[in-house]
Amino acid sequence: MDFQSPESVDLTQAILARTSGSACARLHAEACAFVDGALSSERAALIQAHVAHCPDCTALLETMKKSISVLPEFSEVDPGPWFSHGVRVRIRALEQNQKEPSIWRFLRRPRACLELAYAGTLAGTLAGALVFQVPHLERPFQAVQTQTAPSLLEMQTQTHHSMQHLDQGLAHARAFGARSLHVIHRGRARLHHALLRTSQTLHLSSNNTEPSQADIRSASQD
Amino acid sequence: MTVEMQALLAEVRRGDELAWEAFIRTHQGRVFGLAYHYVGQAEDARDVAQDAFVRVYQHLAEIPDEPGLIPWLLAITRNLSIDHLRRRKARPPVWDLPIEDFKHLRASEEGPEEAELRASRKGRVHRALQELSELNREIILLKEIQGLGLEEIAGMLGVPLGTVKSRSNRARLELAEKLVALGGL
Repeated sequence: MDFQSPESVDLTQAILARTSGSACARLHAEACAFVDGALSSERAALIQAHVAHCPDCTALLETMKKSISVLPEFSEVDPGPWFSHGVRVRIRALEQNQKEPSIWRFLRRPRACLELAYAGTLAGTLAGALVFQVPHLERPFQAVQTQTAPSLLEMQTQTHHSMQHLDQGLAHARAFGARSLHVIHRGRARLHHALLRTSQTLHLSSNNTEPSQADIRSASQD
Repeated sequence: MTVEMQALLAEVRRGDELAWEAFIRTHQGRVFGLAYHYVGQAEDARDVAQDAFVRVYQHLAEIPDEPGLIPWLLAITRNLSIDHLRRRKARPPVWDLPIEDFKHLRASEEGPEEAELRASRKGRVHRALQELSELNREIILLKEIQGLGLEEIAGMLGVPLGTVKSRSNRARLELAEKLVALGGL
């Protein structure tokens, strides 16, 4: 049998199909190196032997070789006769722009309106917060000052007054924003818990044997 | 670098207007060609290419000498093209220039039949380029079309040299497969 005959080629393909599979994928991996002449002579000879029997790989390698000369033709594209004039116009506009005072260049930016609106809103909010101050907020904290071992009734009265003042403060705070409201609510809750704990502590201590301040004073007068 | 180009660059760096115009005319084809292959529309590519030259004008004193000039110029063009593509995300490229506008390097020596064959072949290449993946098209554009070296491309793309080499091989293979499917060269 002639080793180059169609029968021998078919036999080769049949054996390849049952063993390693087609060698085309292997050729693809080395195609660039082959076209660039970067393979050893032995390796190049193997590729030549494969392409002698593979029209697909032959076409691929031929296309790769021809594209080396064809592709550089796409490097330059004519932009038209007015291109350099267009460049000079842009440069002149840029130089004109740079001569303007910086404040006008700042104001003519597309985002300038957005930034001015934002700054104006922020300034207005801060001004409003300063003008409409909440007058009664500091009083609840003054009212909470405890004297030395007050009685349970006095503590309860002070707590009640503090809560009243806080409620008044809240009413003012509602006028200018949910944020202030949130902060005040949190402060109120914490204060309420602190007063309750103190009240409970004093109640427990008054149920023990220690006398109240009133009892101590009347005992000393006696 | 030729003496003429050396002298031209010296005049350009000094701000000479005639030298600057000559510089634009010498390189406008490559700059516009690269921009066009990135953005895909002639009008947008013209804007990008003009912006590239304006950017060069703003850095006249920094224009490098000839071996580094083309990579520097093409890097500016590439960056502006990518910025343009980011701003214009929704619109896909259409490559609206007719194939005849791609410069023929040796057209004057060809007969009409050869010219027609060449035009037909260039049409297949152009179509195969459009069908490539974005990554592979960029490598082909920078290496095979614009003739940049692997190190220059690695520096431009910010990737290792080995990555550029393997991408280049894959890109050439993909292009060849597409060309074979379109009828070859």
